[in-house]
Amino acid sequence: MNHLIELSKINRIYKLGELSVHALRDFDFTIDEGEYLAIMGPSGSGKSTLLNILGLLDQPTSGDYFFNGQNVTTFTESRLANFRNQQVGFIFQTFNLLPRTNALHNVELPLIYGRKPLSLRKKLAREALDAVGLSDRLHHKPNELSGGQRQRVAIARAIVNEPQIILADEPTGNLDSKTGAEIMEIIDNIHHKGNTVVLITHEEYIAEHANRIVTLLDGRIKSDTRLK
Amino acid sequence: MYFLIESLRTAYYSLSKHRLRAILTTLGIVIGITTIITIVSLIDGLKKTVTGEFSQLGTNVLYVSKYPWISHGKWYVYRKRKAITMEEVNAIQERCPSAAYVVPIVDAYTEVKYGSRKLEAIEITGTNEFYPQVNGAYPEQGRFFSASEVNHKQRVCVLGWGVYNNLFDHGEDPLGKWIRVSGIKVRIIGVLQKRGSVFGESRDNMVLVPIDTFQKHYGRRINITIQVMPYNPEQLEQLEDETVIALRQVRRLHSWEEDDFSINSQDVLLQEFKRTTKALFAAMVAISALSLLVGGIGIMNIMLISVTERTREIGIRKAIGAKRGHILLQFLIEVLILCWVGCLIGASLGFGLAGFISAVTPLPSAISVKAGFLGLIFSSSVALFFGIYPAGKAANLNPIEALHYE
Ligand SMILES: Nc1ncnc2c1ncn2[C@@H]1O[C@H](COP(=O)(O)OP(=O)(O)OP(=O)(O)O)[C@@H](O)[C@H]1O
Ligand SMILES: [Mg+2]
Repeated sequence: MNHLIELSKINRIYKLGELSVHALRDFDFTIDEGEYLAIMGPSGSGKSTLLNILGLLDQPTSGDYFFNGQNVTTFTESRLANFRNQQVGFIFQTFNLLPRTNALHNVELPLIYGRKPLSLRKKLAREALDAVGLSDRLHHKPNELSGGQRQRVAIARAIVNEPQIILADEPTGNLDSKTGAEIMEIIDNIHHKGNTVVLITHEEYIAEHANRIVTLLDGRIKSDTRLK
Repeated sequence: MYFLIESLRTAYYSLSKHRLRAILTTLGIVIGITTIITIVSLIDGLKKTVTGEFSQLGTNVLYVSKYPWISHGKWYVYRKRKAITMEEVNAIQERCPSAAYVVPIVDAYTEVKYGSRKLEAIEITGTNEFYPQVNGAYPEQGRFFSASEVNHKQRVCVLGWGVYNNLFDHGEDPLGKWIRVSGIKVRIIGVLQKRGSVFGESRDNMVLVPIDTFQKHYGRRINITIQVMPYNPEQLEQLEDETVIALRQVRRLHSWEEDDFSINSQDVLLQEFKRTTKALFAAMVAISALSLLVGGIGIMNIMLISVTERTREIGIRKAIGAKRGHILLQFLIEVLILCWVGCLIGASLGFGLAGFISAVTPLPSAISVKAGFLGLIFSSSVALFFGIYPAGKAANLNPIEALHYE
């Protein structure tokens, strides 16, 4: 009954001058704690829009979003930032690491905005990098790392604040299949430790890692299947 | 606090990545600060020495002379004035009740001989017995000449400290010895204390003789300067009025005629000095305000470029939890650092320039901490004023749009 996430009648309309794009239409949706969810669907179906709204990077045009029973659509800018910092770990297709900044410091950033003291920060960041198998690349900058290694740093950054939910937008989209498989192994691990994971992918074999697959079409849910 | 260090770190990175651009940006600030510091250092230095030297003229003394100390270019008028003579000295003595001391001073430069030793270009001054009181110059050995020695044209003299040192061996007793001052023999009765110099001119290289003795040799028509000192400083203005009346009477000036003499005082010089430095100060304010304005606009421009270049970075930071205030502060700190780098360069240039000017010209300079602070606060305000717009622009970016910025 108590869902981790509950979306109710969510609409997201992008206005481009005269034109308006209805990216999500009257979207009703729930996610329970500990779920491993894959979102699929054709390009432009609204997957990224949904994920950004889930992670509070974007606000719906209308509708309500409850997280742990709290209506987050009423949050102020500062609470939204806190929420992104504490409750969400984002993993992007393009990694989105800070350039000219070494792996350790990239992973420390969420802790800095979360006001953790220096010594704890270093410890947690090292542990997170250790968990993704990068203890030997702490002081490498993004341009000194391979694509797979960069995504590992991004994953370490996403988990370092121990968020409730991990949101990954095509995390393997920029990687070859072998590296992609390694990354998926890490994400599976995060889920095994109890985290809720939401993952966008175009690949069936990646979606099969999840225990629930939701397919979108034109801003609506086309199918919602539970595996296993 | 953690966040402050993070901001400093990013500011350092982003500025060191575009080092040349950063330095060019601060040029306006550099010029502004250089101007402030150079001029304030020079004015401060001048003020210190000038007020020091002025006070050696005596804060409490009027100088009656043919020429004004501050002239307004009418030398042809002043040159036609009658020389000031003992007649005027006597008139002031008789008719000015506020005058405690009236001291005539008349100068010539000549040679001084003692035995085989000879000094050139020594200032020989004719004066009266009140010279020590008005000029604060008292004998270190022997005594000053008395009223009767002045009145009876005695051939006595008092040596300046420098003349004594140059004519006599160390420890040699000069009292009672005779020296030749441009040919006439005078007897030494005293030696003055060391007095140092005023406006670069030594006041120890002189020989003082009774004014009548001086005039017997050099003639009575040589122009005199009269020092007049009141009983107490409050009477200075009244004394000036009395002196003007006395001189106009003795010179038989009609009421429609202007004074044909000048009454000078330290105060006149001080006023003139203040007027000049005020003009300098105004010029400094104008130049530095203008260049700080240019600097501010430069900073705004470069920060706008920087915000655009770093849109994605801002998006990333916001996605992982940076608040609006964090981004605002980050960019404002960057602005401040940019400005302080400019200040630092400007201050080094300014102090260097002031030091250089005072080394190659007679102008003194004083390192002014006040000027440094003034410049720092002023330019920081300018930088913050012009930096708030780009920083606000960065802070208000939408995270998604920023992340997708190409
Ligand atoms: N910032 C925006 N401004 C205008 N329209 C947008 C914007 N972002 C997305 N859209 C539109 O909204 C719709 C959904 O976009 P979304 O990015 O969610 O698709 P997606 O399912 O993630 O596609 P893809 O698989 O290609 O990533 C698309 O039609 C897209 O053009
Ligand atoms: Mg997408």
